[in-house]
Amino acid sequence: MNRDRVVRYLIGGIGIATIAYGVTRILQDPTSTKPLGLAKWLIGALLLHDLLIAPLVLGVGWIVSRVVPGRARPLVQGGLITGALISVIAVVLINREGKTSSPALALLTQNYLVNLLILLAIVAAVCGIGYASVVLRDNRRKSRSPADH
Amino acid sequence: MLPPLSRLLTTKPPFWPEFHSPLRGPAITARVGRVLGLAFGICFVTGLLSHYQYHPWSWLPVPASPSWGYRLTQGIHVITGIACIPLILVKLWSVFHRLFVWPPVRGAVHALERASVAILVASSVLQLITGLFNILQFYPWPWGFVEVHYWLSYVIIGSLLLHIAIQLPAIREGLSTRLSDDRGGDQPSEASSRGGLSRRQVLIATGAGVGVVAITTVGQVLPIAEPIALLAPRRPSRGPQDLPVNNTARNAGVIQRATSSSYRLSVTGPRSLELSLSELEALPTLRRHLPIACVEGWSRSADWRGPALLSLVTQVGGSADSFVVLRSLQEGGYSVSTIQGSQLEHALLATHLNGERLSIDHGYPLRLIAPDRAGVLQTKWLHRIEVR
Repeated sequence: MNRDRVVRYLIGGIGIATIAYGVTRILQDPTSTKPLGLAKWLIGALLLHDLLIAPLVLGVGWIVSRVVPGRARPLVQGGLITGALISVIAVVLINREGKTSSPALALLTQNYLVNLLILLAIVAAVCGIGYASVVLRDNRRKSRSPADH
Repeated sequence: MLPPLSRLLTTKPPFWPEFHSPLRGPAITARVGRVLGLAFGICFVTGLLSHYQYHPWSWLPVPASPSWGYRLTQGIHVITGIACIPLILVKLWSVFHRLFVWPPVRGAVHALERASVAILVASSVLQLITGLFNILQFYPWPWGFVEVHYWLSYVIIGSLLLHIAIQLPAIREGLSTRLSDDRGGDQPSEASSRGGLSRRQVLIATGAGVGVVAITTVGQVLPIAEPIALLAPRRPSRGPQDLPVNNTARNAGVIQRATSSSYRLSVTGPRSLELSLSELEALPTLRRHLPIACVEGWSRSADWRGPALLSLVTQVGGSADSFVVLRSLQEGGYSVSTIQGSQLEHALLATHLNGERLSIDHGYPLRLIAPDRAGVLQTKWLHRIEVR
């Protein structure tokens, strides 16, 4: 067995032992860890991604690749990626806004919908500037080399 | 007649889903995975440090310096954890087509590998979601957050190590492949020729999203970034007396006893002592600039004034080597904390905050404040101190 394999078996072995340790401790304290409820939520987390988030992303990607014309597409796709990643956090905050026990906590005191729209507007503006510069560059190239046409 | 098993295993059934994206592939997966793996490592280590705040070994108490230690490590823990949410989504996107490999299971080793990925993904996604919900004080699940967050972190780190061990050759290959000429995916990345995004641009867009999330949340730890903290759950400057609280007097059920004229602080040890609020205020006071650093990741510095805890400890016959238990008027929750070592030497029993008397939500009439200490261990509404 070469050294690389030994290292991999070692890391993997430590990994399996660590998983076993965590699982054992969870099972040893069922009154606070509620293993059955936890198992349901773990499966739910997998399904949330595999059945909801991933198909949604694939669907939007498929539509964008067919609807948006070539030159604008990278900027639309890039803007959607950045905007979606920001929105994932913001949506949770928007949903919990105003549901805290006291203003003394200074918790969720902002208008997160407005904040999200500000951030998305910035992302859109950056993409818009990017698109404008691509168009300008292409136009300049065209006017410089009329012989190509 | 049924097709032979061997053919079924090599030929995908027609209904089996199939995706083609020129963007996915080991080059991008390995790069995103490297950052995510590092982030998980940071969360694990800072999480263990936080756990140690609550359960220190008696021979190795949490040190008093640097006074901003827990503020830094827990701030990093929470901001990194939040940033992991967009990161893991991109990581999962980059390997989503592998969920539908055919045949689904090639053998025992392959089954084990897939099971380890399922454990890693399920536990990571759940940990990140529940972690975020916890800092919003939202608990829609049946289990105790602290216990599960702690033990699940071992499951995650373990399955991450196993995942790295299994995928090491692919990781190496992915990292050494240039983004532009990765052929490990469905197709080579000549996407821009078809008018789409390149792999490099996917990484840039990902970095921008994760960066915006980090920059707009870090303001709950870093005052200089608070004006742009558009996605921070807390705005620490908005709390009463210029400092947020994590538990109100009403919620703790202490209003009546904390404001009663019969309030006394009892200090017990080899000797014992009872002090009214005016007697406490007649003691020599110290002023310290110390942060409240919450386990939920927010923190803010404040000016505290009050007698030194150690002076009362020595009055009842204790010393800097004593083990001190502090009890709140609150019942249940974080009503008791212990202190020893250098934190004991530097601790104040604060009566004043930012030049004013403590408000009831900040622990009136008396609270503990010590350096490098988790917020909920800065026990409020103190009424009993036991020197051991």
